[in-house]
Amino acid sequence: MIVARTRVVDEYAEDGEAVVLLADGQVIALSPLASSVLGELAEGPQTLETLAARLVAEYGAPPGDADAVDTTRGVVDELAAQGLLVSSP
Amino acid sequence: MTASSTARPTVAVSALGVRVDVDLPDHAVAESFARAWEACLQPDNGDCVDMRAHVTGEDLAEHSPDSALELLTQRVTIEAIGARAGQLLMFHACALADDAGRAVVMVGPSGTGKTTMARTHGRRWRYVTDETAAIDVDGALLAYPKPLSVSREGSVKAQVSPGDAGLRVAREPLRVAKVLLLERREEPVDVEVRPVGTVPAIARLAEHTSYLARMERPLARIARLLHDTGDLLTVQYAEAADLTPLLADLLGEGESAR
Repeated sequence: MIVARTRVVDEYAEDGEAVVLLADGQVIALSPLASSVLGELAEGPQTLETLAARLVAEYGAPPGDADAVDTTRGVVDELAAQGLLVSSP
Repeated sequence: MTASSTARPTVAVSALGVRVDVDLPDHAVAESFARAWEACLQPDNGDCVDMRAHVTGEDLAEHSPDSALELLTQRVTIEAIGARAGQLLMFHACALADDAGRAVVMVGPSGTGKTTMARTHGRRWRYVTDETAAIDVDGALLAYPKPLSVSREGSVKAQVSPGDAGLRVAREPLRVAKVLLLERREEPVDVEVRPVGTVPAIARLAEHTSYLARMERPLARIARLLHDTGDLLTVQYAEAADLTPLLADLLGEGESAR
């Protein structure tokens, strides 16, 4: 799966928190994890696996037996539902 | 006001720094309109603003005077906001100021009671606006002392000038001292004030703006406002008068306490 950012009209970050303005006027405050995902994709699309590996490097492995790629997919799906990411198989 | 008896009357008002020429359906409506907008009348000889807009009320001849005035007031605000899109940070808010020009901007959705808030406190402090708080790129707040929409019997509201409502009108220059986000409750509650950090505050405030996406770096503009004025405060309350102590904290005691 390839994950890419959609175009945002504006974004603002301060103290590790970020907020983005979408073209439809919606403004969304992002969690630190969501900010990191968007930050990792700032340079261009990534595969889900690469994205997961980078998040593990930043935050460590997800707790328990959770799989990093599955956890990342969950975050990506959430951000895609908000219109911040698109993914293609 | 052009008082020719044959031509349709026109009244020029100043709204958010825009000269809005308003065509009125007849002289009676023109007179009522000019009275309601007395705090915003554009002097015929002075054209100090460089933006113009036009509102026509010619289609309103069949409306009752109150209904025509209500629609015209809405049209003036819509035109002015549209003309300043991309330039001003514009909140759906009422605002009050002290005599020195320090202002509290109270942001809230329709139905929060912004007009009631302005009427309740605009004698003790000064009336800036009951609808649109507009801040320019230098951080100056524009006075927009439009008529207040006051409920009469039925669904139509009367447009009352701030002077006729007994309010003192704020004069520019104005600076924002504090931004509040109003959360009015129907049931009686104690006033509760909570600070909100900058980034979540931007998201909360953005919901109550006009044409945000048309601005250059709008989120940083909101952030700058919050850096200049301290944390956004959400204010839970039931009655406008409940906020007197908070406003006195933010703006000083005002007129009646002297």
